[in-house]
Amino acid sequence: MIRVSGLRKSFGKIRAVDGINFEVERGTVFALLGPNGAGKTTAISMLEGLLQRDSGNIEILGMDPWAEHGTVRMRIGVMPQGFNFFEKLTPLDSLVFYRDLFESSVDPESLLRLVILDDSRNVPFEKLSGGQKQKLGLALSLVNDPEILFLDEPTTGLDPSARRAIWSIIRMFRDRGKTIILTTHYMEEAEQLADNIAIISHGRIIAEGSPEGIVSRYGSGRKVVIKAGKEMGDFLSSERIEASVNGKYFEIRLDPETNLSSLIGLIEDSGISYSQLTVRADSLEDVFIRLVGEMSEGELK
Amino acid sequence: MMRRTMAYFRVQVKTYMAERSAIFVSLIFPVMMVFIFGSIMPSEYLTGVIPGLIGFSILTDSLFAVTAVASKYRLMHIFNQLSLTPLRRSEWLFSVFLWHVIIGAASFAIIVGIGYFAFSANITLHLLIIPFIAFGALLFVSMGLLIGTVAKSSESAGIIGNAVGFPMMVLTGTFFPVSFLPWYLQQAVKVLPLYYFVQGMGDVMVTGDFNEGLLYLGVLIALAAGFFLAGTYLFRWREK
Repeated sequence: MIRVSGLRKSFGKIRAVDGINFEVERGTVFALLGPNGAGKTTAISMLEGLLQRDSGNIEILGMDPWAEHGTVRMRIGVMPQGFNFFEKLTPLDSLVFYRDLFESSVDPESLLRLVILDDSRNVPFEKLSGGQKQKLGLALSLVNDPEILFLDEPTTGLDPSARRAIWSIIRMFRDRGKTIILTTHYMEEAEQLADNIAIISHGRIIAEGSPEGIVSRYGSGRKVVIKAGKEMGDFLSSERIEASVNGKYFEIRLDPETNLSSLIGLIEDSGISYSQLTVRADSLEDVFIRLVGEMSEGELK
Repeated sequence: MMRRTMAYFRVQVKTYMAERSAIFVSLIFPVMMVFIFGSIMPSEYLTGVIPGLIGFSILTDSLFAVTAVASKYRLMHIFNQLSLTPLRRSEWLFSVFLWHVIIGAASFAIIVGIGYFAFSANITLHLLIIPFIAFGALLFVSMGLLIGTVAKSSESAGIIGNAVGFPMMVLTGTFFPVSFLPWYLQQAVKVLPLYYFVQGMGDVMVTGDFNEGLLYLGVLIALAAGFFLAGTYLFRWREK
């Protein structure tokens, strides 16, 4: 359905996208996950046919989105980052305008209800809140009943209930056999929605796979996390237990040979007080921060 | 094609109706100008400046509005958004042109109507007025498109638009005849596109010199074609 290989784009001396490759299958949600400035929007803009690539190949529904933009645009929906539209137009006017352009039979009112914007149907765009503008962007991207939906940071700046409303629309769209490409820097969003993820940093994909697959491949297994004062750090050092410090949190990675009950017993016996002790596995966020951090350090070196 | 052109035309109508300043500039301001000139000057003077007031209206409606729209929509990525719909660049342009021709024709009707009925202006109506209004609108829509496309920001687009527009608004015979200007300025204003509109319309509507009017119309068409080609060559839906 979507094939990307060797994709590159530079702006002057800055390599925004530096040779990325991935494939997306029909009926799945694919997330490009990365920090701000990683190249996500540049990459997705080239996939949408809005930005010309320097080199590499993109196949969307078997077509080149730049050269065959006229055909591709009829079969995709796009919700850009920080969606903007005609300031004086209301959501209802905007949807009627798109319906006329696409010669679609969609009912604008039903789309407004779907994105929970029906109460603001007659409010000019300039008076809508950020979340309402994003919802209108999503509604407009659905007017032509697209086969592929591109969502560039769809929930940035939204409150939790608006975010969940958009998530449920994405899931519903996927359940109808449609394909979704989204960019995000929210781990929870990627974990909740994506079948597959590509972590992108400095224009390169540094990890790819299912959320669980990425955690099991790049994560470092279980760890004990203790919230305590400085004396806990001194104690762990004296016992030659390697721990990383993050503010008041001490993290001890558990390798297969470590006996968890002995370790906890040792901490209990020390008599040093702590306010929290948890045992948990690496999350996607842990893996993301480590991978992106390693990439940044490598770039600095 | 017409369905999509008219869909965007309706967007322009809704935007215009919601924008009080646009209504003021395009319709109320010309009325005020005719009343002011009609009240303080003899009707012969008003007759002489009516082509200039029409030119002034078409310039402000088309040049300033399209400069603002072209830069703002580009910077707000609305053109990107439109490029993802079936609306073509040419359809958008035609719709914008059509809208400004209609606004130009409405300004013309208001200025001429008030001048004739309220202040007895001695004006000749002739079919040649139609191409003057159409190519005048095309010229200033194209200039606005060009400025809005090349300017890096909305602020710089506004500054360039004003720098280009104001000399034309004042010096080309809009409020007083060009013959009032010193000799060197009379020569200098010939580089300003509005000059050919105002002088040509004056020939057709006031002096009845149709031969000279056709010559000015020819220059106006050539200028409109040149700016249209330059504007559309540089104007992009999508980025490279």
